[in-house]
Amino acid sequence: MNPPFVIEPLAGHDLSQFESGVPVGDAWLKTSAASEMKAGRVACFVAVDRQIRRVAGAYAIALRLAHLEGIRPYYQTVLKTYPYLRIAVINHLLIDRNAGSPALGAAMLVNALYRAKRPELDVRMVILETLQKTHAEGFQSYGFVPDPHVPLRVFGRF
Amino acid sequence: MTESTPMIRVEARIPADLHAMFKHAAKLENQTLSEFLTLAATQHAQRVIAQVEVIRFGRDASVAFSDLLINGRGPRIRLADATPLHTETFGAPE
Repeated sequence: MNPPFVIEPLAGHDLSQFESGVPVGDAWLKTSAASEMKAGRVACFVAVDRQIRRVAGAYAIALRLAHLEGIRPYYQTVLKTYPYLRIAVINHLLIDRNAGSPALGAAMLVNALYRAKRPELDVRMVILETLQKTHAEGFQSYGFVPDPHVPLRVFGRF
Repeated sequence: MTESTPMIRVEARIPADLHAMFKHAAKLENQTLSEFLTLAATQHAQRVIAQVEVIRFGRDASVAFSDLLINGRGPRIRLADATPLHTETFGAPE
């Protein structure tokens, strides 16, 4: 039996029915995601219900360079790329209210993490930017730790 | 670049057919080979820099970051534990 969903890069999918309950996230997906993809700033992926071809979830992932400052000299030598560190930023993780799969969000996060972990990217850390406090807390069970300075941000290492 | 910008020589060994193509393209643009390659490399470099954006972390966040990454404080992402969920939902991870 085929899995119920398939992950596809966002490309002309019908998003008119999509509603995650997070208006700012829905607005980004519907109005900005495609143009940001075209500009090469992010890659946006959608989870599509195989049977009805409806978008049930989405996330965006981007490679960034973290610029660190003031870390201990020993760490600076261990971290060969200091002051830069290649990281992946995952955000706009959105699940449609009618997706019918309570674990879809977690599965999408796992998909994003596998994408970020590809060896050729040399990503050492992942930043997950959530849209709700409850999400930020929930992702800590996957090994993410809260950013002490940014409430809706968690980060983790592979 | 201004006239006072110091100039340095960059050398690259490239296949003869690529050299011929670059030279032909430069001629079509009425540029020297050096001008043509400098412009092409500059445009590509600007695209790369624009795409790989830099996020600046303050001192405290940097220290928290480095503690987690290098010193190994705190957990790792438990990807293996969550793989069955991915397989059930989307199939095996690529």
